[in-house]
Amino acid sequence: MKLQVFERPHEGVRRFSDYQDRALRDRCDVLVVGSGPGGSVAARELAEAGLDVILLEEGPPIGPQDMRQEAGDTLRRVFREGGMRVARGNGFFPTMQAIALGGGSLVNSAICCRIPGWILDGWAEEHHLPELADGALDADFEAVEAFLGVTATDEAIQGERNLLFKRGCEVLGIPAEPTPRNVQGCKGSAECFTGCRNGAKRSTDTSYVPAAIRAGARVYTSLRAEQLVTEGRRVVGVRGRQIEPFTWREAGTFQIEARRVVLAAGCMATPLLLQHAGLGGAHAGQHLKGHPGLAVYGLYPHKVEPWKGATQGYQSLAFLREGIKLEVLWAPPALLAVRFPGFGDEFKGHLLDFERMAPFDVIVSARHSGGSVKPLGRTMQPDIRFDLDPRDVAMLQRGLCLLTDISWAAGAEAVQPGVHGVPPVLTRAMGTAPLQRASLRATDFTVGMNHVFGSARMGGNYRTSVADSWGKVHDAENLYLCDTSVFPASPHVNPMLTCMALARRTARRIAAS
Amino acid sequence: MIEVAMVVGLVATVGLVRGWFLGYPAARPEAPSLSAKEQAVVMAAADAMFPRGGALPLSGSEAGALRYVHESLSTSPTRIRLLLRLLFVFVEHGPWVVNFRARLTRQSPEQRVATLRSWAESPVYFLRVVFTSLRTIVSLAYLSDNRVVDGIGATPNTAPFEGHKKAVLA
Ligand SMILES: Cc1cc2nc3c(=O)[nH]c(=O)nc-3n(C[C@H](O)[C@H](O)[C@H](O)COP(=O)(O)OP(=O)(O)OC[C@H]3O[C@@H](n4cnc5c(N)ncnc54)[C@H](O)[C@@H]3O)c2cc1C
Ligand code: SF4
Repeated sequence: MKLQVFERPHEGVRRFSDYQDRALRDRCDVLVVGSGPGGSVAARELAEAGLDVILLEEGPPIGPQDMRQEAGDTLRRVFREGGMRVARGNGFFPTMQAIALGGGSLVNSAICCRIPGWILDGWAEEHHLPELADGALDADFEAVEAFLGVTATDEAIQGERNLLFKRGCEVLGIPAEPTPRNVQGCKGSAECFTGCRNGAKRSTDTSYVPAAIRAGARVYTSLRAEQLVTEGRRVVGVRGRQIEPFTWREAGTFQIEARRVVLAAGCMATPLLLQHAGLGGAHAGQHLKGHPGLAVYGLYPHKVEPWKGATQGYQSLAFLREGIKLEVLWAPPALLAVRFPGFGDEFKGHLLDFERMAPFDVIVSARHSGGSVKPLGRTMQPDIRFDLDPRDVAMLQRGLCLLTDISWAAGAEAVQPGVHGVPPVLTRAMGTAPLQRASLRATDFTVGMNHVFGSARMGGNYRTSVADSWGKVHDAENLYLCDTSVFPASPHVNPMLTCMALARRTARRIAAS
Repeated sequence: MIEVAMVVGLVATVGLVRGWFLGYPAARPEAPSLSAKEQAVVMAAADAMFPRGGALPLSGSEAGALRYVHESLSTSPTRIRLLLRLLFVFVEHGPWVVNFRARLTRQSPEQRVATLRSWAESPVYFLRVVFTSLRTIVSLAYLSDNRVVDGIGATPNTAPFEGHKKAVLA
């Protein structure tokens, strides 16, 4: 199938400067709140089905001219709370959410992994969702993958960092593969986190959003939904404020009336909208889950130039049944450097060694861990709680050991495990043993958690869930959820593709009803 | 007895005022969102982590740490701004709170490194979190300077394999 490519993907998107502080009003058949992977898929499907659709987004459109290679600039301009959002519990767990047209798809590494069938079947059984079992999402996955042009990362743009992982896995006999990604014409610039200046990443702002506009949807950016307007069990509209890009200053107001509303504001904002409206029952905002992640940095005798090559071009699903996924990692050097040990010359030495480094990361399904998302007062600021269970800490430790072994097998001369209580630099002579032997707690490392889900989970039982398998909120007649908040448990793999497949399924159901 | 208590109280107040407010150089104009005290803390921390000289000669303050932190503060949401300001207060007075040492900006460069290192390696989680937060801001600032990025060889390049391909073809 030929990919739909949009020369000027943001054409027709309404921006903050269009509103001029006036109170804004509009109405539509279906209002979709949030333009990330979930919302944009829903908007396109609904618009193509002939419905009058409005897609609402709090962040601005970000084109190549707005992208900054400097990490701090990107954090302030594209991430919520300047990239410094944390979940608190038995530790502090940094978690990043984007504020931009396209949501997380703008800044993510474009990894598109299907949730394995056995996990979906598990969701179906544990959460009374038989409609999701036995390959029920296959057609949705196929459609999304075809539209995004998902393909395995090409060897020519892997770069040494990714190839080292491949080699290490080969030596150890660990199955590994090039990462499937939603890119077209990727040049391996490793800049996915700060936005793709090559226009190669098929983030939703350059794929699904323009397709929705072409199908007749109106897209309003810089509008923050703050309150669902309800009449009994029906949602009749959404109210909120205009938000100036990058300064995040609140300006004029808006109100949009709608016959049906789809919430796709992401795992941290959707439950807040539900809780403010008194919808979703006692489970709205509960059962927050995530994929805690950690990395080791291998140091090699030769030049790796880790800033060259697909951002995350190789992965191993070999330990998925244990809840462990292994990947190659890249992010702006300023962010990775935070973890280097030492001061002064020692620290600067590590900076100079960057060109010989290859970071590998592990994410775990964290089955035993969880938390909640609640609003801070009447605001749209989330109070995020998360506790990392010791059993999941053990899984992270196992993942770090595997990555360290892969690094040795790939020829690393030293590895930085980044764990408190373990030597900051492991040599080949020391091997992996100090990491294996350590008795670790949640506070012994800085665990990042960029895959979050579950805060408005779906389920067949009204008393233990927020929405049904079609994303319809149990206690509202015309309110649907289309983001990762509906996942009832971990997908074990990167969540974007599953979110999009579920969103397509929900949107088609809405269109058909 | 009352007189003794008054004298002790007075000495303590003077000590507190002096330790908390006094002795900071005038604020520099390039970072107006930071008070004189916050500026001094940022400079002290940046130069402790990145002293001048060595393989990457720029110091933390030469790499524009002040300007960077000012920009971060002025564009951060209120809650983050508050947390950053609290962080600077703790970094400055933490040495006294933790083990009755002089505030950070009154310490020698060697003492500052020793203080920060003790937090980085502390068994107390809170101190490690303080250190990591400070390290994050200061590292982001240091690596925002193009001379540093060029120095480590990580100059952004949108098509890193194209030159190579051309060379192979030639
Ligand atoms: C750095 C990073 C790398 C990642 N890499 C990958 C990867 O390679 N592969 C993968 O599968 N996953 C990855 N993820 C996770 C993935 O990006 C998310 O799971 C995904 O974006 C979630 O989609 P969503 O639609 O649920 O929410 P989001 O992407 O968060 O989208 C929600 C949207 O709603 C908007 N919004 C929020 N509140 C409001 C409001 N009140 N009013 C209006 N709009 C609002 C937001 O601004 C946002 O645009 C990564 C995440 C990060 C942060
Ligand atoms: S690696 Fe570079 S070119 Fe490829 S998608 Fe990411 S940012 Fe774009």
